[in-house]
Amino acid sequence: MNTTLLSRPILPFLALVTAAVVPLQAQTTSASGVAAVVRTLTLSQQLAGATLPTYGGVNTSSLDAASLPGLLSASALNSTTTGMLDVQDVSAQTTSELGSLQILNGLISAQQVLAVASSYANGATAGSDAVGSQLVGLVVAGQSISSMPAPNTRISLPGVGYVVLNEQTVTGNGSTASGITVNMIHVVLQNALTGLKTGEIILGSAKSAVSL
Amino acid sequence: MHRSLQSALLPGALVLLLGAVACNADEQPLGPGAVDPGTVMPGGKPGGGGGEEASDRMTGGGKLGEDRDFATFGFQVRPGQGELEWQQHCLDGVTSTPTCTFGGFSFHGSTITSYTTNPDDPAHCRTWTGSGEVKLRDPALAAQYDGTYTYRVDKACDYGEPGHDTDYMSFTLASYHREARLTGGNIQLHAEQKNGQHTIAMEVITP
Repeated sequence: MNTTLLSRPILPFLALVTAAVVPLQAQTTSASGVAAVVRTLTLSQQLAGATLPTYGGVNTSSLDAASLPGLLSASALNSTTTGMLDVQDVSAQTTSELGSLQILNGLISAQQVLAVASSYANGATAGSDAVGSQLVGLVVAGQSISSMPAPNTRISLPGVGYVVLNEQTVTGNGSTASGITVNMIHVVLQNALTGLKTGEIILGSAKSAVSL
Repeated sequence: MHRSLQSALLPGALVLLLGAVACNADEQPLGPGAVDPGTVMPGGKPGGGGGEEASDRMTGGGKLGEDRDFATFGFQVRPGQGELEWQQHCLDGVTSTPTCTFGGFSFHGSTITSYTTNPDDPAHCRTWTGSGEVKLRDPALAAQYDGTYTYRVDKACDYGEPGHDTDYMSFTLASYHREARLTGGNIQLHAEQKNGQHTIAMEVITP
């Protein structure tokens, strides 16, 4: 009797919830951005990092300026993520940016760095891109780089390591899932003798990923 | 005479249409809440009303413009609540270009006062207003103008994926105005289902 009394109001509710939730279980949306990441043997810092809430919305983080002596100085750091989980259309976008930056006492400098990551899935297709990303006034080891480097352009920094410009990693199957990670400047610090990685500096990092 | 966004940013083609607005602005400093952005519409259209109250949601983020004068943005909006982040970048500082008269700035909109369909294209576009905080990057201008302002998204349009080069954004903050197709990112309109309920997962599974 108790079971009957309890089940009457609950069962329809459970059925409704189950029916509603099942189609959504495979859906995901995720996005995050961080204007600067600095990791060395003695230091680990993320500056102006923002992560999209699980079910979507908007999140942003800003810093007027940042200074890590000998490693990084920059201004106007900002990361913004947006997106939403939905039955028909899932999307996520991230922008991550900073300006007036100097890395490793001026070994690398730029006037503006912007990473844009955008992903969508609509039931028919899924895709991601970094369109809109840009590097303005970039100088690497005294060499000015005026045009946008091709994805995953690697430049050696003798005695320091190397830098990857416009680093892009794409994931997904193009139909139900897609994601992208964009790191506009990724400096890998290496031991000059052994070549072992001793740290990294990432500027303008944006991620977005969705599945439907 | 106070410097005003209204008088400084008016595109030449709009000077005659918006002359009355500009005169008012000359009499009124750009202080917090001093200028109703709804009075400055692209193409000189007054008000921009006529849309119906919307019950769906819209999210989006990305970029307008390129190179040394561009804006990045991100937002979520639904009836009664939402947020908007806007970053105007002027790499040449304060210039006479329409979008850099006051140099770079950040704006965080934290309230929504209206959210409607856009009468020009109710199937794809939404219009909303709200208020938030402006922070100008130029220290001298910041001391004079930083504060709380109302803003208006004249039109945010979802024309499919991917959003770059197709989706559209038009934003007005006092007399600052920027509108264009996205040069990066995406805008997504999350339609309301026919039964009147949203399909957002969080709402469905939370008893």
